[in-house]
Amino acid sequence: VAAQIKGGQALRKALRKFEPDLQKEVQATMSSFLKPIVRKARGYIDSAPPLSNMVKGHTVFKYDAKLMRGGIGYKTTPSKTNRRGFSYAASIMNKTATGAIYETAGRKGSDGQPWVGRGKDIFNHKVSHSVNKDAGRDFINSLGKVVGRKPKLMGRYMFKAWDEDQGRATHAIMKALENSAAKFKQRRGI
Amino acid sequence: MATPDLVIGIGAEYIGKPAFDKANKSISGLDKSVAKLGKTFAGLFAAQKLISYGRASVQAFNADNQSAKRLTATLDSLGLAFEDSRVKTLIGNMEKTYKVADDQLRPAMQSLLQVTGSVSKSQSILETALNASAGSGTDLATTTQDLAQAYVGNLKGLKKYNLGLTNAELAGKSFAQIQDLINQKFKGQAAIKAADPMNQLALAADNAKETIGKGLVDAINSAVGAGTGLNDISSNMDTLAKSTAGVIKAIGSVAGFVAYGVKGLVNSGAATKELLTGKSNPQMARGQYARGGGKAIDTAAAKRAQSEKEQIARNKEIAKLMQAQAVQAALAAKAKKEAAILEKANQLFNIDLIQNIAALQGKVSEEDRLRLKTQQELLLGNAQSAGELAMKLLEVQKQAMLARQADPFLGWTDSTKSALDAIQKMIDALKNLGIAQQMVGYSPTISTAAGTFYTTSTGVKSTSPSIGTSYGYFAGTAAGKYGSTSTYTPTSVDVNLNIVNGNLTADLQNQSVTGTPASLSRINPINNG
Repeated sequence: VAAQIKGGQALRKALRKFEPDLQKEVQATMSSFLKPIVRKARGYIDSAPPLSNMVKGHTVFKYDAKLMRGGIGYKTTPSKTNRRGFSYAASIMNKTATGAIYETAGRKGSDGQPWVGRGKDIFNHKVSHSVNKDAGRDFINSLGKVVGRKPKLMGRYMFKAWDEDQGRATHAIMKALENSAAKFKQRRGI
Repeated sequence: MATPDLVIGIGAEYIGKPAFDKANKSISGLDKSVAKLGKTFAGLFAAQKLISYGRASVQAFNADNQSAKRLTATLDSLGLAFEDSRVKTLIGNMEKTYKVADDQLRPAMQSLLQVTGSVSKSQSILETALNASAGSGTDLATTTQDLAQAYVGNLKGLKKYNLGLTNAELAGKSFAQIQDLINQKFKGQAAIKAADPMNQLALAADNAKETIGKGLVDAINSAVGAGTGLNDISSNMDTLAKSTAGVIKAIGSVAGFVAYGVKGLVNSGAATKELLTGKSNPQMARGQYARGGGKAIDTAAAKRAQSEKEQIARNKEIAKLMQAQAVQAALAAKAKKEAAILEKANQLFNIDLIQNIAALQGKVSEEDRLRLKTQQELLLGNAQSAGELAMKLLEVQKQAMLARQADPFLGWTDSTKSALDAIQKMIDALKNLGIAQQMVGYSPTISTAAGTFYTTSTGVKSTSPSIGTSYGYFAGTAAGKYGSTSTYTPTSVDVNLNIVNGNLTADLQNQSVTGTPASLSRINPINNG
């Protein structure tokens, strides 16, 4: 079961309002654990494209290492509540579309999407319209394997670095929040 | 900025379900919208219903108005225009008493008036019709029509009221008697129906509709101008522009008329004086107009008495006619019966028939008996029997002709052939007329094996089955095996020929000995071939 916290948002609001230095301290602690992961993730992005043709064109598929690296980052402020009602104390993200494609391609299968070819089923984006029916497989094979323990946490850059961190960052962030809460209570005499 | 798809969240905290909140908000919003839409729709629906009701009301009023006009016109055409107000009062009273809408009563009264020509008689029949209609469940229009027809002697429609009389009994009764019978049978039925609250409610609703319709029509008439109908609205619109121009033109002429009007007023004083003193109208001065109302009432009563008198006379005339018709019908039936008796009696004196019967009583051959019987049926005019007997006779003649051909090895003569052809033609002609062919004089001898017999479905045993009968075949004793049931149809008949002097046998043997196979052919005596 994923670790959950209670009252995290209230604590962050209280810190921001009453103990800004404590809030900064918490954020600095979080950054110290998240930055290495991000750096590591960026490091997995090769400067040269896996296949020479990947640098051609102007689509999101165009391999741009600089853009992709810039897209990987972290956040130490609480996220917005998602559709399931959860908010996160901190997060790491891969923001660019190109980065997301190269990060996750091959998650669902090593052969890519089913091939239909040009001009067929043109509005279906879950099939390959390439002239080369092996395009998907060639693309995925050139990128290497995706790494991760769960299908939704599998990837080549950010998810790989996160997987390799083995939950240390999560533990540290939880600890930092606990400490800040204790300090807040202590200062405020609660 | 949209949340990126690829995010690793750290330190998850459950805040709530904004999606549900959003959904709740949406649902409450939807509820409000639906309620609002419902109100709007209800308003719209109500407005539509109102318009529809208004239209129906106008139609109801129009129908009512038209039926009243038709009734007035009928009274006028029958010379009973003076009875208009009385009929209206009668219908109004009947509506109140029997709770039947006036738009049903008016056409009924109209049809009765057309037949009887009398208001009193029509009223009486209409009351009978109301009872009969309520009691039998038929609608008033049908019942009235039936009674109106019965009044003039057509009693066919009265069957449905189950009066318990035969056609002859009904025909023997006068209309007054029939009416009494109907009144007796359906007494008080209209009052029972009138007491039904639903009936009263329906009538009240109908009347309300007519009243509302009248109000609407009046309102429209007021809007478009008095004496103008809905159909005239469009034409009024067309003429409005022209009229406006005309009015403007006319204003110029008004000034001229004003001066003339002033002059007229000066003279009006003298005219009024003359009018009041009766100088200008001697009748008014004598007070005759004051007595005029009473005179008019007397005239109406006289006219009514006259029309009643005429109606009674007409009634008598109809009764007389019906009586005459009945007498005629009885005379015709009597004449028919007498003709039938005469015809029968005439047969007794028919010489041919007498001779025929006498001949049949004597000793005659089977063929002659058939001839005589055929003749008898022909004389009596029994076509089917005559046809069957003729067919039988032809078959007998045919068999006799064939039997006369004694030597089976001789060919038929031309005369025999032509006679047979002629008989066959007659048989075919009778067949075409639907007469079945008769099997006569054909009884083949059937040889059965020892102990073999046939059993009919009724259990009759026989060793010589007859043609066309179904049998179960048994071999051995009656308790033996049962074969298949079939209809016996002979296929061939064995002919046994005994040669007395033995020449034929010798010739055949000699032929066989010479090496030529022995054979026997039928010899044609005409050409020896």
